[in-house]
Amino acid sequence: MIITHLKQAWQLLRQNKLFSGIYIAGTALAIASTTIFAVIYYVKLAPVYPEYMRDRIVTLSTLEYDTPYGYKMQTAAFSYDFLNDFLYHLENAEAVSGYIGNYQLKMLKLPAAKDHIDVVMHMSDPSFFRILNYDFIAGAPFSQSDFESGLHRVAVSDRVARHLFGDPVRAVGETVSLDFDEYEICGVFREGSAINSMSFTQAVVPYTVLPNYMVTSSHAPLSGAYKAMILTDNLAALNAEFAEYARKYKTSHDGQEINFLDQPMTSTTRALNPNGNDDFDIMTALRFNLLILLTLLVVPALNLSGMIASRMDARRSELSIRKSFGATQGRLLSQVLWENLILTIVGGLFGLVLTWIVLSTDATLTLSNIGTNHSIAINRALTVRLTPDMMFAPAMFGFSFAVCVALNLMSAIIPAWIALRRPIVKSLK
Amino acid sequence: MSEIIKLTDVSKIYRTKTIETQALDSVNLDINSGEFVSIMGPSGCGKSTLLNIIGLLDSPTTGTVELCGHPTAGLNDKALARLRNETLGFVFQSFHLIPTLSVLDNVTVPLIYRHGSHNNKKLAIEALEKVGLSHRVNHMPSQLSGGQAQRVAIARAIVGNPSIVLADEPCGNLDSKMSGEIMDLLHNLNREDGRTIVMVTHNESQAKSTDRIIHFFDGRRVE
Repeated sequence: MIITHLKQAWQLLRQNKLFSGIYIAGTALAIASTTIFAVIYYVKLAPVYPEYMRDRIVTLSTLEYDTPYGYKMQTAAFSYDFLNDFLYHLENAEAVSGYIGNYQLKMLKLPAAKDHIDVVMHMSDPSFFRILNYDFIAGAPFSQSDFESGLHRVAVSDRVARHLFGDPVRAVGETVSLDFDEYEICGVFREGSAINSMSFTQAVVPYTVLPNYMVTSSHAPLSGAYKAMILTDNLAALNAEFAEYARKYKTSHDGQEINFLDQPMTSTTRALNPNGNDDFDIMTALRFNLLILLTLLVVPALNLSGMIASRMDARRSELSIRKSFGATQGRLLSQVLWENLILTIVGGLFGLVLTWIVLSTDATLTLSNIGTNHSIAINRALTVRLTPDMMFAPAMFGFSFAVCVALNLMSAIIPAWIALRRPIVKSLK
Repeated sequence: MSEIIKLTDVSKIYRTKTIETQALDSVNLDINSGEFVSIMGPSGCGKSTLLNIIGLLDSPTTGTVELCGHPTAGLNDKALARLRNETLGFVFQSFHLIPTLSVLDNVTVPLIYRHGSHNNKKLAIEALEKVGLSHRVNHMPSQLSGGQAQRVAIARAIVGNPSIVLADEPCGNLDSKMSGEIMDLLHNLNREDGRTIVMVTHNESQAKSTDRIIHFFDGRRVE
């Protein structure tokens, strides 16, 4: 039975080339737009390279606190003292990494070269590589002793290494100039996706290379340049530790308060509230995203539905013939949906190809920033893309198929049902 | 011979917001098993409406229809579909072959809606052999002449071995030679297979070749 439906669907496709072409194109666009949306959120929310432990990683950046001078201060990053005195000693953290820089662009070149390339650099500590699981193609991250000694070591991404040396393996041990300071390449890691602002980096150096990395302003003792990633299995206990710190801070600082502004922040919150809005509510954010998804699905479904309605008119006689030879309405509805599913799946395949084409361009970055005020610098020398494991994730195929089925049902079920309810005799003259 | 079709006091009224049209008016009709009956009358007299009601494609406004001794009033969509599938075969004036299906697939249509039907292909080829078109199984309807298309339609009507074949002006779109062939075919089905055939026609000579002629005028049966 299904084979007969498929055969007929194929015939319909061949016989109504214009209709089929427009329908497939419409479906492809609908599926591409929803799948691009889903892939971007998949990359932001699922455990993907190198944020495999995303469900255990929380972050801290902004702080609000009372200064000794009687005014409140809000800071986008905190001081080394705060990192060293409190965060590095958290009891409920498996690892803590302090780092400087999200999308900090630096000039990188071979020492003797004239031309440079811009790279996104992080300054961090060895725990950075413990929390984020970068694959090292050659060499290794800088060591604890490199870090403590403030040695000029840099781990670079495979793209950077290929750009400079052709072969990533050859890069290890070579010297490069990074913002006019020379560094020795200690390792080459596989680059992640630029969508993930926390983990996307092309060069990582120890922050101890900064001569004044420990300096804290006396006017703003908690303000500085550091952000932190914390690996924990017990967020509740960690939050309690932060609350206890705030209480002790108030006691020991003559009633001055410190506010962590709903941090440490989970990956989910970070992905859905990239602007760090104070009045963020996860359910509102989910509803908003669901609304976008539904809009991307419903608008084309309505258009396709109109097309199907006109085709149902043309097939009224056929449906009546089938009814007169014993087909029930339910059976015919299932037939129409099966036939339509074929067109939708063909459209879906084109949609997937379109998705991959769009996602393999820098448009992905722009798309990933919709709804945020992040300004992601696009490095022209080293374009940033999604990795294959993100673009070809089984979940994405599953999602695309589910969208195909949903689109098929949404677009076909009402016109088909209306057509099938028409009296048989009106179509059989 | 037993009654295979029995209509009792059947009326059909088509209503719109502004007008009411009486297509059939208190029609009583008994057709015996194995009969070949012609229904004649001027256009708009209710012949096709009658055929549609017998074929369960339309329901009467009042009155009852019995097929093979089973009352059909109150049957749901599923039961009506089953009855149409197992008891009735239709031949239409405009053939109504499905243009996207091959000849073989067109003939198979009634079988795919039958529970537990096996050897659909074999049965369809046998039906096509009966109408002399077994060499055209892979053709598409657009590749057939009018007479061939009507023969395929007849094969489709008989493939499920229904006891009643309803033919609505089966030769209406054919020339006289082809009409003759189709009438021969219908007579063979009636004589050799014992099928009951109810045919609507405007053609006097075709009607005269059948067992009985029923005349209609203004929705009423006239003698």
